[in-house]
Amino acid sequence: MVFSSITFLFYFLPFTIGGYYLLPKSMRNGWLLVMSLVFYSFGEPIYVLIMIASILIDYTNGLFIEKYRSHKIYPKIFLLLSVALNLGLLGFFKYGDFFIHNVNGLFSLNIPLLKVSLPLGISFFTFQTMSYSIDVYRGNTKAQKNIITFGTYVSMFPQLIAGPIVIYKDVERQLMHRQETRHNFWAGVERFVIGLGKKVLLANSIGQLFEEVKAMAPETLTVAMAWLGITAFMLQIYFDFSGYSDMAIGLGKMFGFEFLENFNYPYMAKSISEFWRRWHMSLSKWFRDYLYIPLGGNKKGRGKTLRNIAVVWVLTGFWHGAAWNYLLWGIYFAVMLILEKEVLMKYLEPRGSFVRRLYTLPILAFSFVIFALEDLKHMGSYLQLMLFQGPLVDEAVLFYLHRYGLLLLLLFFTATPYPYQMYVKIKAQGPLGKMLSVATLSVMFLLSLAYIVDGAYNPFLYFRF
Amino acid sequence: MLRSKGVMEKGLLLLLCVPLFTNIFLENKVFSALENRVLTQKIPLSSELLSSGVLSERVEAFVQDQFPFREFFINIKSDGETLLQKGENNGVYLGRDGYLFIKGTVYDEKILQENLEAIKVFEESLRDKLSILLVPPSSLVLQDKLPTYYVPVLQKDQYDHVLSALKDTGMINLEEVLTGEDQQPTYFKTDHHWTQWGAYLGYEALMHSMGKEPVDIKDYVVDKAEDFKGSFYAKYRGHLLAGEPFVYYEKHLAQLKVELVSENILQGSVFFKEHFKERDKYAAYLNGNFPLITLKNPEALYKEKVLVLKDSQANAMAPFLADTFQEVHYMDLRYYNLSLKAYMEEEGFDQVILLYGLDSVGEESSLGKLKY
Repeated sequence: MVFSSITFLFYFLPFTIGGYYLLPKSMRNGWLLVMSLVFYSFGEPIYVLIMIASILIDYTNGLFIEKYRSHKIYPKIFLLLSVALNLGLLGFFKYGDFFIHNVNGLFSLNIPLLKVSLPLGISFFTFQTMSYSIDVYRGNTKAQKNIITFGTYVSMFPQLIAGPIVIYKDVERQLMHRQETRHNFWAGVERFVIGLGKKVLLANSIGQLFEEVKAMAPETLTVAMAWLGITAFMLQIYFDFSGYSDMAIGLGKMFGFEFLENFNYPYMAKSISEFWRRWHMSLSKWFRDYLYIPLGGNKKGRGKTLRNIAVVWVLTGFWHGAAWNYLLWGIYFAVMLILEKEVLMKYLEPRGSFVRRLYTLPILAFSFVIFALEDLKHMGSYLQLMLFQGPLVDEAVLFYLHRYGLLLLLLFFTATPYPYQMYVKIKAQGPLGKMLSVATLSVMFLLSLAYIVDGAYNPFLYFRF
Repeated sequence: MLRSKGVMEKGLLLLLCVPLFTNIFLENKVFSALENRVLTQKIPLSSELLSSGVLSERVEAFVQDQFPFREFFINIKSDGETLLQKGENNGVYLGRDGYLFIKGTVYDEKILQENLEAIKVFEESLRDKLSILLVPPSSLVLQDKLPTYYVPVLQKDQYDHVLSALKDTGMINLEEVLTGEDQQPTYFKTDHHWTQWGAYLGYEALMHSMGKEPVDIKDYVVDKAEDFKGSFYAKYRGHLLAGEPFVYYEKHLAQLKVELVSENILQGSVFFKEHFKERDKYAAYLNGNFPLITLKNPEALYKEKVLVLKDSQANAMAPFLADTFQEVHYMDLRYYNLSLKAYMEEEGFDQVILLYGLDSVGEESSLGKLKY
């Protein structure tokens, strides 16, 4: 079930909220757990068992790590068990066929493919449970004794299928003693509606442009069309993903949770490294805390720092999907980040914001070509066009600019912090401002609803993660 | 505890439950006339549905189709797209003067090749007795009504491909016949069919290629039905888009007898005017699509017996053919499942006309039944 569906908005959500607030506090986690499992099994009737098994196993691991804390080897064994199990799940379901396919190709073998479908959100919940075991092992947090509380953490439907990745120790207190308030509830509704609008009205609308460009044979494209297409994709994936995070954070608030932010206007970044401090922040934070720093971070000399950057980014890329283009995407960022750190930064630093963004955005555009086009040949021809190897413009570009120009301008503006700042300012202008904000949100919600009811185009980009 | 004292807050929460209540307490809508399809209905939960993982899709289709004020919301979306100047909704473009155009699909290579082959073989066995007319999509003909900068490359390529593949069959090039016509509209603004005027131009070309005299359209009475919203409109929709007049040309043929399969209907016209009250006014020609329709008119210009193998584009030509030939049989191979060869041998036709929209040649597998 995706958030931008009638089933979710008008059936699942009112029922879940209603039940939640009618039940006494002591039963609310249990209710969230049950409804989360319902949410999950609605799309994946069988894989919900994997989720339940994952909850049971990591719950037990956590308890044992803590119980044998003073022992020399046991905690290590249980930690290893947890990490191995989570990576094993990911490896089997997500990467199994990719490896078999490539091994077959490399050694001309004929190992049959597993042909398993990817359980929803597996990339997210395995990373969450791993972080839990590691934090318990490190003594950064206590093990959770209550299996319902732990299950609620792992399965919580707001962030279950597309993040943000919530670290256990960040929500530990909230899981056990949170205070739901009316103010937070409505703040959550506000955040959710904004996210829904970003996803349904903005991301889906511009997504059609890239879909069309992607469907055209590269020989028929022009340089301008290639740039227009990838601009559309950059906007689509940003509004889609950040809209989804907004919805997750908003839903969390409705149930009294405060999740960390996941996006901070990434296209305002003035360097590639800054981009990654603004884009999918919960993932970069995870890799920093549980991989980069344990590997030594930037404290073990220049050689090791560069190695660590390379390792982290190749794996970040691969996390996004089991295909060569995602690996390439990670490698591309590793190279760009190292290059930026070692060479370019000293030229960039003294420049103004405009020049620095003019440097950042095209580099990102190339990265998203690698991200968006799984077919390597297609990707190659597309990248060539982006590098001005081909006819510059044709009538088709004008046609699409004519049709999407207004929307593009709107999206450029909306990708900056200004619209939201304006919204907040207006809201603060007394009762009239408040009414205006409610009216804005209502119109956004009704418009989103109109697009959902029409149902023509409502893709979900993250089933691969 | 959430204490929502505010009336507005409670009201908002209640509003969210409206679809839930309407679904429980109101009867489901069954059919959408505008979209011409049956809406998704409730079905009992089965273990098959649960295990196949399609449950969520099925449920979403149901709640979308049964959403209260669904048509209102769908129109809102369409208006939004129009206001954003996107000029496209659900695969239909908005051109100049309210003309809509279908984006067009890439034809299935296999179906297209098989159909072209079938037509060629069919032609070889009939030779001069066969005339072929394929109605091009409106975007090829109405160049000056297209959206700004739009070049329908795909449709042009596909039409040219078909034209060159069938060049030895004497196919009448309707693109040439219809292009440049500016007295009367040749296509509807909101529908994928050509108008009766467009069909008349096609009819004239057909008569010339047969070496026959066409009937004169001046002998026909012009009339119209108001507010036609055709198949393109059903996709594009919106409050901002108007309907158009459905113009038709009629001549009373006193002796004309129309037979729709088993029903035996005698009347002096090919028009079934009750359809003018409905959305699909084009169905007024010959009452829509039937496997087999025969028209007998003893007073016709030529005492010949003609077979028309066709899709719905042929229906608009019916008023003229009924006036021209003593006996015209319309066969729609999508629905006619007996042997075409047997039928032709039994009836012994003087002429055979193959009249389809171009898209049928690229997408319609029933053309494989063309065998003689």
